[in-house]
Amino acid sequence: MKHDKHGPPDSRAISRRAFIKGAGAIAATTGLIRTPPASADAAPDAQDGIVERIGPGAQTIELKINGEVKRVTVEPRVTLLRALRDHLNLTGTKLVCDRGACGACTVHLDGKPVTSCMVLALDARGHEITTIEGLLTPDRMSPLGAAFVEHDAAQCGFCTPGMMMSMAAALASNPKAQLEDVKRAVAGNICRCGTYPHVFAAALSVVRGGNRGES
Amino acid sequence: MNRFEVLTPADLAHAARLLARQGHVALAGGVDVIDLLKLGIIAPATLVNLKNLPELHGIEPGPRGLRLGALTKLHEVAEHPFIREHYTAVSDAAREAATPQIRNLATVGGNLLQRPRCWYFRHPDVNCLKKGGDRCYALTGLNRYHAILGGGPSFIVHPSNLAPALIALGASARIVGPSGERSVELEKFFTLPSVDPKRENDLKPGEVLVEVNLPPPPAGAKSAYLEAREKQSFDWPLVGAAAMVASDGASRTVRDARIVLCAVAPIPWRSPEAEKEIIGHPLDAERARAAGEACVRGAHPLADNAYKIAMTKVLARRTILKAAGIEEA
Amino acid sequence: MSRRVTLNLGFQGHLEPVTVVIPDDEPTPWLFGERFQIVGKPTPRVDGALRVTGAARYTYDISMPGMLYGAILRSPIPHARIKSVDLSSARRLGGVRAAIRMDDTVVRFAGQEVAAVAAIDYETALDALGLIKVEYEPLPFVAELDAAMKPGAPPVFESGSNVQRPTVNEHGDVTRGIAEAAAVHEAVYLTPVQTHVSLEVHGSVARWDGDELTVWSSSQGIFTVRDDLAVYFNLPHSKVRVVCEYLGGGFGSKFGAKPETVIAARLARQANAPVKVMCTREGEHLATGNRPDAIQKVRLGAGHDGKLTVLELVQHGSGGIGSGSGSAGPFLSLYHCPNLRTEETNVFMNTGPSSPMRAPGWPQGCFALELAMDELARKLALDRLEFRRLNNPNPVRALEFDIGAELYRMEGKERRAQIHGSVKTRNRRRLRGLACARSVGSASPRDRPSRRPRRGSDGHPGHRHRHANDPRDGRGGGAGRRTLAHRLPSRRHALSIFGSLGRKHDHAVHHAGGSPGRGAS
Ligand SMILES: Cc1cc2nc3c(=O)[nH]c(=O)nc-3n(C[C@H](O)[C@H](O)[C@H](O)COP(=O)(O)OP(=O)(O)OC[C@H]3O[C@@H](n4cnc5c(N)ncnc54)[C@H](O)[C@@H]3O)c2cc1C
Ligand code: FES
Ligand code: FES
Repeated sequence: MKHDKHGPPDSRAISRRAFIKGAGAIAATTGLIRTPPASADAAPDAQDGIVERIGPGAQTIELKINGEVKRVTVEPRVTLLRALRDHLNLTGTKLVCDRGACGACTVHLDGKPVTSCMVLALDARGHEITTIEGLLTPDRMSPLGAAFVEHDAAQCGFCTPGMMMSMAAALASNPKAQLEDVKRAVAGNICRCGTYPHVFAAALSVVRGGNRGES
Repeated sequence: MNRFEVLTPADLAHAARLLARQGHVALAGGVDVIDLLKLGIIAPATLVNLKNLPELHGIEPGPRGLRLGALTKLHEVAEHPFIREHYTAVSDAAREAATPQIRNLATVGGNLLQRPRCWYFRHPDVNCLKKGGDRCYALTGLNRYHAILGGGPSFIVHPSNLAPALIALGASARIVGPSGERSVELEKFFTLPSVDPKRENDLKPGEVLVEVNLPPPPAGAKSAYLEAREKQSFDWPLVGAAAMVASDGASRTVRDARIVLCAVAPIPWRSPEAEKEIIGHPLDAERARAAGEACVRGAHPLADNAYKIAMTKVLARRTILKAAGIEEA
Repeated sequence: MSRRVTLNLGFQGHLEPVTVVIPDDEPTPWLFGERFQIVGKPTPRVDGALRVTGAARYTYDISMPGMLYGAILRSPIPHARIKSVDLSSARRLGGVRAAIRMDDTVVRFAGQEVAAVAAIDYETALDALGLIKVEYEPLPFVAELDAAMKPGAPPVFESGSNVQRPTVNEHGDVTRGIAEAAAVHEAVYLTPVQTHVSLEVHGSVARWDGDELTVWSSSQGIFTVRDDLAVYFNLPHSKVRVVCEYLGGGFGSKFGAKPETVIAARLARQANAPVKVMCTREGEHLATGNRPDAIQKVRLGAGHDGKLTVLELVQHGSGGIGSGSGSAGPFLSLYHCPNLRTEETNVFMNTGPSSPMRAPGWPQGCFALELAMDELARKLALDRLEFRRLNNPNPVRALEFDIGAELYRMEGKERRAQIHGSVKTRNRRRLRGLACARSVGSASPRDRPSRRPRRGSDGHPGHRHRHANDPRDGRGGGAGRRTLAHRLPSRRHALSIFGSLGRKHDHAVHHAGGSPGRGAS
């Protein structure tokens, strides 16, 4: 077992304090930032039947975001959300509850909306990640985006990119969505300002083709 | 969140061997694992990523029933036409669970094995009975979401709303461990806190939940799942009920039934008392009402959750009638 | 010079000519019913596209070269003396650039800031928090309102009782009012604590350039943040600049430099690098403010004629370690009553401090008063709306009652809810509600934008600045002002409303906005 080579010395203990102390010791010696990049064939432990061992230190991983392959060096514990925001400066995806409960951090994984705060960045490898920046920009509005503006579906706007991501995915899979469908589509998105009726109206206007958008 | 490494085992046997080691925790969709990591309630040295294991994938409908790989996502369960038609309660429960975003991540296996949502258990600074402490704070504390049935010494409710629906349809789990495999009825898989307050099920160290198997529903069987919650849009159930009712067409006489409640007990709560009220009788609103009453006959509410008794009665009645396709007057 | 202008003031059907004197260079005030090019017409938000596409940069989104991530260690104990704080292991952890402890030696609520660190990434900062050793000497605590009110309850502050001196408002004689009443309703109304839960948590990014401090803060009040920071760091106002370009909600809780902002600035100074400190959601709930809970004892009485003879409120509420839990507002201003007494008492307890939240005190007060009004109407066998009309002193509200009644058709044969046509209960009955509140739009003078386009501080006469502390949380007022400013005829009308700036730095206005010391100059 090669565990002791990588793991903290007292990792057997489930005590949080003890563990974090150990992590500190490791961090000091290996450096948190630069460790060799991991790829599928990095140090396979044949006798343990392990095809990949990654971490606990930071390693470089590749993520396909908005059609481009990005390299990012993160520890395994870094969530996709933190990787996007803190490491790749893609801040349209918001951090609000950090527990999967509010939807502000919604991105698409292979076209499906997920809460990026509940996904480890390394688990997003091999998937097509789409963030709000990949969905639309102020110069390249989608019909749904234009409808959001027209129907004033953003007040403070902090929940809005997440709402957009959820609604865009829902309309892509069901272009004939009705009120009940658009409500269900954003059931995982919390808006504290109370923009829901405007969000529904915006989405339904796109369904009806009432909004030609700018693109 | 502590630092950890993530291992991808080559195959199921190696996954089991790794998971038998202390400080190793399985990673499926990660929704509950990441939650518990962020709270510091678990601090594993190693996560064992199961996503590479082919045995855990896939939905396979067939004449002998239905096989759900443990890694099947909740949204796949909710949208599958075969499940919708033959195992309606399971489809409905998966559809009602969590949010669209979470259903795209959460797996069936992880859903059954998720830890309770009790606010004392999830509080990083509270050392409750489930974490090795000396008491269940819900007993005297804030307990509006806690158990009315089967409680003690811990009063959590089991959080999965998929589990009651699966149990109502007679599901079993196939489990592979370091020393072989076993199959266990899902109903028997969950364990009461009186057995061991620190866990909610019978999964042993090193064991991997590989798949859930559902037998073909009994002839003439229909099922339903309903839940009551505080918000119309996403919310955890205050009370949920799954019902399978197999009856003769014209006479409506119930030949077989299963009624399993959600969010009222530390385990998915099957109610043989309620089943007895309807089996062998032609089903009508009065029978369903009697079954609802029977569900809560042994209930012991805590200070703030007596409302669950009335709610359970009504919900059980409605679910039974819905399963049987009887319109409520 | 000044001129006289006669305006028709009032409300529909009740207009009166009023003559006012205004300075010569003021634009003519808007007249009732006047039509405008912009006002009163639908117009998209200026920054709608930026918000919808995620391109808008909120405080949480700010990053800059060399920026560190801060994290706060909060007390898990509601009341304790801090015997020691050992930061040495945290400081030794690789990647940690600063570690501080708070000035307080006593914590008075669970969640109070005890220490903080800044590190090269967020995960390292969290690890460092785990290495801080704090020795607490726990003290007795009280965390529930009724318990905190009891004699002998553990005192929150050394100085004395948890029950503060009540604020009493009184006219007439309550005893007489009771005696004169044909029916009296008496009840106790309880309301719980509420938290603001802005989607963007409290927090700031702080950067020092020599002795000048720039803070990007998730704030509704950049001037109050600047003022507090200037005091805390003993700096002239001109050395402190506070910026908030977009705000992810505040709901009243984001005024002044709160601990997380001071922490960001302290860490930045120690690390000699910019530091971002955003609260966690837990920290947000525990420490950044809340609407106080309340226990309201209410007595209402009225005569057979339906006229109130007595209105009495005895209220206790807790702002945690803070104050300002009063709820008498509605009792003092909604109805006419000859015998009125309100007594509001703030009670300390070991929980986080309250902060203003959308009409402080009013929801609690309206909840109690309006339920009590309904109960009394029932006792008097009076229509609930009629009962309110009988006691209403305000002509505007009388009109509003008519509008509301019409909308709800409360008085017609068809008693159907029109506004909420979809409000249906399971048993297919429609629900109908009735309650009264009051709203008066107000803004402090310094928060108002200058109505007078001001000469640009770069001396260029064509640059007009609208100087205001205008929180960009997207609510109506600010959004409207921005829309107007944006639509000013000249492209060179600069829009600079999101920054506070020391006088000396007026020239930097164009970066992210700013204004001289007094916002509305
Ligand atoms: C906002 C929100 C709302 C939610 N609402 C609901 C709801 O309404 N109803 C409901 O039922 N649930 C709800 N959930 C819970 C959610 O469904 C579960 O957290 C999720 O299903 C867990 O699945 P996972 O694949 O992510 O599991 P993981 O988090 O990966 O694993 C969960 C646990 O199971 C273990 N594990 C997982 N798979 C296996 C396996 N195959 N063999 C052995 N061990 C395994 C892990 O080690 C871990 O202990 C909600 C969650 C969130 C965040
Ligand atoms: S931040 Fe991810 S769901 Fe709230
Ligand atoms: S617009 Fe403010 S939270 Fe939704």
